[in-house]
Amino acid sequence: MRSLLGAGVLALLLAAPAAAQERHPNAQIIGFADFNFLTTERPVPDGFRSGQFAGHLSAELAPRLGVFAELTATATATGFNLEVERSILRYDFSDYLKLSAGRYHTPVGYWNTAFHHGQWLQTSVNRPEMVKFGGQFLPVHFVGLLAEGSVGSGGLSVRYHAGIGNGRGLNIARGGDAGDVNPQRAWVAGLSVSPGTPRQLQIGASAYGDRATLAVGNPVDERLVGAFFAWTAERPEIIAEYASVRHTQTGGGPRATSKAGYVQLAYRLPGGASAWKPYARYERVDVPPTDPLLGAITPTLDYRAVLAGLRFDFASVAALKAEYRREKPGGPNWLDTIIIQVSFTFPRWQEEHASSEGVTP
Amino acid sequence: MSARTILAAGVVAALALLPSAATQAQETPDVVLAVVVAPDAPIDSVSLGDLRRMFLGDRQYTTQRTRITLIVPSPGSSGRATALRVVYRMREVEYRQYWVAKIFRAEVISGPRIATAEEAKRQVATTRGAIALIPVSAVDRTVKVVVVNGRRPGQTGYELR
Repeated sequence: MRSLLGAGVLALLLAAPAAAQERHPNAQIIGFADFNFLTTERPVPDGFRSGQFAGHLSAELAPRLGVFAELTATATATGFNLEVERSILRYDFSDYLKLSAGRYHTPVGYWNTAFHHGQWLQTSVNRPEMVKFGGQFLPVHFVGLLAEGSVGSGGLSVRYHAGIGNGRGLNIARGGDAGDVNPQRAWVAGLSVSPGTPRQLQIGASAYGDRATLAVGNPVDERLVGAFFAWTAERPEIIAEYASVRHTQTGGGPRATSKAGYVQLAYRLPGGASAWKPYARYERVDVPPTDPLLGAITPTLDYRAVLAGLRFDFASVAALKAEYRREKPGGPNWLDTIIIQVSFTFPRWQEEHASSEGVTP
Repeated sequence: MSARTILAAGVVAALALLPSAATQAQETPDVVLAVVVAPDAPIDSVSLGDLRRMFLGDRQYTTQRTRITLIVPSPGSSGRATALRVVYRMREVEYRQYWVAKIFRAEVISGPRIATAEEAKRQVATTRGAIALIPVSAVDRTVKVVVVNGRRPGQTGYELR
């Protein structure tokens, strides 16, 4: 591990002289926000809700050296919770190899990296349960090092990533921001393919391993494998994701496998109705009570849901979504929810003018 | 759930009355586009698939490890519609959402640049790694036209039209 880290630092230092030759003052700031109205049979407060405010910065610090940062402010019962969601410094050696360090959305599955805090980007009001805000099924954040890249020919692109970092914290919904809670680092790896035609089709698989430390009892080894299919060309949009995670308590403790997945279908209507996009999703999370990591935390991880909604893009930067959900969050009863959301991005994204500063002479 | 049903119906009705993003889209006439680079750039031909990977930000570096700078026609200009329809295969709204998502996912730092044909030629001639889409009518000796799928603009089967 130390050799790997040393090699990465050395590689970045060797690349530094080349970076000093050119100037690239190039930055993009993108914000996302949402506002909701909720009426529900679930035991959560009804009414209007401020959603989440997310600010994203990307900047080219030098040729091939970029920084990505994301901050959020999330409404809670006692105020707003501020969080550094992502902070990544990346050096691109080429398309084949990009090395980075920082805090990431863990690159497992699809939704966790594709949409995450970008409510406006996703078709539905909320994320699926398996990647929900503050959720525990997937390790949502990852602090460490990541290597990624892509190869391709014609329209075909094959992307890979592999990383090592801190695993889940004592609060397993969080990554180890201030250090790992045990000496065994987490690892993540994944591969995805985009054939080019049909456009915006991506198929991928990923794996994640860690040793999670519990407040009480022996640590739990975690091995997760997942796969996804995402065709986001809108006519139709099909996103399906599945993950299976095996938890084994060390010292001869119990072992169990939990599973989660969803299928989302949507279709952007044609012609003059193209601002409208009906959608539907089915999702389930199966966590056996014997799961030594997830089973003891909350029974609501055993979850079923069907939902249907309508998205209306009333401006190029804003959408109004109305969604009906029928959920069975752990217990025997199905509970209904209606939620209406306005989500938007700002400022309106615009290409930079080619004559502006930032192009290398 | 009757009150909720009424609420949902009300929302749907209100949605129907709002002006939509679709009706705000501006149409621009299609023209034949040329892919142009600097005269000394080490690229003479490209497949349409590779061209799309470049302009979609999936390929960001040349074989010489120079970052590729993309230049596309400005919104409302001649050539924009052809670029979106043939190269991106997206509507204007989808194109903007695509780049917002691409930047959000930290896959790229920024999207393509926009320029008039004259500005694009100047930038291409002086910027390492720059590649532009400009109307064929604007091509002159200051830039090199890249062959796409084995065909040059004007030849039968040329696809950027």
